[in-house]
Formats: sequence, C-alpha cells, structure tokens
Amino acid sequence: MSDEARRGPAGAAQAMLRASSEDRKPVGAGSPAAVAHKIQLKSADMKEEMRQDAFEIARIAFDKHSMEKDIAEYIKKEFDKNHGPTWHCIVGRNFGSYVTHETNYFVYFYIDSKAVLLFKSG
Amino acid sequence: MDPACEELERRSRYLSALVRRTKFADPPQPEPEAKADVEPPQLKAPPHVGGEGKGGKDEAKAEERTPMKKPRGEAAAAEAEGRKVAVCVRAADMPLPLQRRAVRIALEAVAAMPRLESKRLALALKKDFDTTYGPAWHCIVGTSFGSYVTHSLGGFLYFSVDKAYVLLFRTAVQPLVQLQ
Repeated sequence: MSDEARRGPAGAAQAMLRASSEDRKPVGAGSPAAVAHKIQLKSADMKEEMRQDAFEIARIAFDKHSMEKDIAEYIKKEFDKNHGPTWHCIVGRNFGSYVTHETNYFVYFYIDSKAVLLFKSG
Repeated sequence: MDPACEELERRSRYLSALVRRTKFADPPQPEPEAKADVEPPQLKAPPHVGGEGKGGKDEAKAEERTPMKKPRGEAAAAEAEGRKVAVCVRAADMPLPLQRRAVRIALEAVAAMPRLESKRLALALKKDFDTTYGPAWHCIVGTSFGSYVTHSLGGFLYFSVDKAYVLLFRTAVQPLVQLQ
C-alpha cells in the first residue's frame, strides 16, 4: 500500500479545488525525541512559510494535549484564526482520506508516530 | 425497514444531543481505551433534540463538531454478501435518505473488499456524494483518528462500519473569482 498522496481532479466542479487522498497504515514507531517532536512531511500543496507554521502549531498542540481530537481542534482553531476560515484537521495513527481542498492550502505530515492532515475548504 | 429507520433516527438524535451536551459541558475526557461503558439500549432523546439548527440556510456553516471515537457498543447488524457487518451511526446532522445512501455505499464497498482499504472507501463515498449532491464532500475512514471540522448544515455523518469509523462531511464551495 503506497503512502504517496494522489492528486488530481476528482469530479470537483470548481477549478480552484483539488482532491487529495492520504492513506496511512500503522508502522513500527520510532523513538521520538524527548523534547522536540520529529516531523516528517509526506505531501503538501502549501507554501513553505505556512507549512512551517503548521509544524510549529502541531508541536504545540502535541505538547498541550494528548487526545487526538483535542490536538485536531487546537490546530484547526489556530489556523482558522491565523490564516482565515475554514480549515479542517484530522489526526491519527490509522486513517485514509479523500478530500477537496483549496489550491495552496493542504498539508499532510507525520509528527512522531501520528499523521496530521490539514486543509482548507469552504 | 420502517422500524429500522426509526431506530436509526432515534440513535442519530441521541448521539447528536450527546455530542452537543458533551461539547457544551466540556467535561474531562478520559482516554477512550480506558472506557468500558456500553451504550444502554432504549435511550430516550432529550426533548430539545431536533429543534436546534433547523430552518437554517442551505450551505450555512452551522456547527463545528468533533466525532468521538467510542468503544464499540451494540450495533445494528446488516447482511452484506452473506456476512454480518455491524453498522452504527454515531453522530449525524444529515437527512435520513443521505445517511442511508452513505451506509449502503459503505456496506457495498466493504463487501467488495477482502480487507478494508480506507482510501478506497473514502474515495467511493466522496465521489458518490460529490456527484449526487454536489461538491464539496470530504471523507475520512480509519480505525484510529481524531478530527475537528466545520461542516455545512445537514452535511455531517459519523458512523462505524465493521471495524472502521467513517467521517463524511460537506463544506460550502466558493465560486472561482475571475481575475481579469
């Protein structure tokens, strides 16, 4: 099963919207650093500066919260506040997804052993 | 089928109310794995359920909600290609016909796969709903994830099928601005 993102038109009527799909399977977890959370970018349609902001906010979220839904909530709210609505965030060890996002507003990365999907739509 | 629909609707209302109450009350949330509670049968929905959110504009962003992954409780069993697959609607803000369609598509997809492939199921659901009800729909399928999303009114469904959880929601689509 490939972890690579698939990108391309998927029936979305709007030209500025693209569909992205992510699939993550559980893997043997590496040893996370005691202080810094290791981040591994998997797929992005996002400018470098905003991407780094996502990584930083995700690190803060993982430090503040332990439950996946609380982490997702924190990240989404920070992005709604800082980069304009409307963002959506998924965090977890095992999920596949298929979403439509606005151009330039999509990122998918691992932080430690969990995947984070963050995108803007609507 | 009517009793099943009524049961489905009753559960949807109860779970939606539960999600709302939990969200508003903001009680401390223990880790789901530590919980051993099972959803008791014959739950009565509080009287205010159903009144909230009705009459709102189409495509208006009504709620931010996060589906809660719960330990597997009693689930309705559905026959799929001769094998029992459990389906349970966990939370919904969606007309019943759309819910039924989503569940049917999920069951058909699961029956067609020897092993559940999250991405394929997510793709099948998103494409069908984009085609049938218009863009833009988003679908997440997996056994272990948390989420926080904003959805359009009437465009949210969170259910479990077999061992996986499915989150299907809709967002408004902005027309492309012509820059000329």
